[in-house]
Amino acid sequence: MIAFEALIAACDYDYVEDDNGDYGICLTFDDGRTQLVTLRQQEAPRKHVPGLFHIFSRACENVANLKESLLRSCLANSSKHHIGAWELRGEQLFFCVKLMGLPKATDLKRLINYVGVAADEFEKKYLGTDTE
Amino acid sequence: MADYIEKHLKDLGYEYTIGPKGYEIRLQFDDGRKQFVYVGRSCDDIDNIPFREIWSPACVLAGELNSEIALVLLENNNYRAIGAWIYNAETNTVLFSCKVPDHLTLEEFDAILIAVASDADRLEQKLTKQDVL
Repeated sequence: MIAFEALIAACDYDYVEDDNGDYGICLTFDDGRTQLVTLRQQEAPRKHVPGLFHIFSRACENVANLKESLLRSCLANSSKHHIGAWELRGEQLFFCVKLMGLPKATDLKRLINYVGVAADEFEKKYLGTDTE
Repeated sequence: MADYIEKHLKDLGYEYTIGPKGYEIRLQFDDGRKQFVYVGRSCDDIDNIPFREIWSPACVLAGELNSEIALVLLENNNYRAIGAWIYNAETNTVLFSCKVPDHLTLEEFDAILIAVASDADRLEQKLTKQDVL
C-alpha cells in the first residue's frame, strides 16, 4: 500500500483515505464545478497478472430518476471512450477505468482527470447538478 | 510496422489473421465452443498514453438493445475485475471490451485474451444458445 499512496501523492492532488482504504480526490474544473474521483487497489484475480487498480467517479446517485433509454445509451457511450466504461452499483452510476498494475504518476494524473471529466459531463448534461 | 502483439500471438501459438479491425483470433475452449476475439492494431491514446483494445462480440441483436438487458450488463460491469460490456449501436452488437495501457507482458496479454473471449462466449450461450461468434 505504501507504493500506492506514494503514487497518489506524486500526482500533486490533495487526497483523503476513507475507511475502506480507498483514496478520494476532489477535482475542481475551470468552470468551478467539482467532481470526486476515487482510487482503489485490489488483489490480482489470477496468476501472472498484476494487482488491479480502479479509478472511478460517480455521475448519478440515484438512477431511478433517469430514463431507461439513457442508461441504455451509457453502454453505447462506453464504446466511444478511449478507456473506461459506465457501470451500475445498485442505484448509483459510475464511470470507471480498470487497470492492471499501478500506472506511472504522470499517466495516473491524466486518467484521474479523464474519469472525473466523463462523470461530471454526464452529471452536468443529464442532471444539471453538481453534487458529485 | 512490427507490433509486439504479433510476437505475443506467435509465442502463444495462436493462429490469427489480420483484418481491418486488427488481429482476429478464434479461441477454442475445452467444452468445444469457439469464440472470436480481436486485438486492435492501432492504439487510442489520451494525452500520449497509448491504450490497446481487446474485444470479443457476444451477440448481434435482431433489434435495438432492450432496457432490461442493458441494465443487467451495466450492473455486471461492476463485478468485472477488468474490462466491461459495451454496445455498438451501429451494428446492434453487444461486446466485451478491455482497454488497457499498451505495454502488456505475454502473461498479461494471454490472461486478458482468454478472459475477454470467455466472458463474451458465456453471454452468447446465455442469450442466443448458439456458437456463431
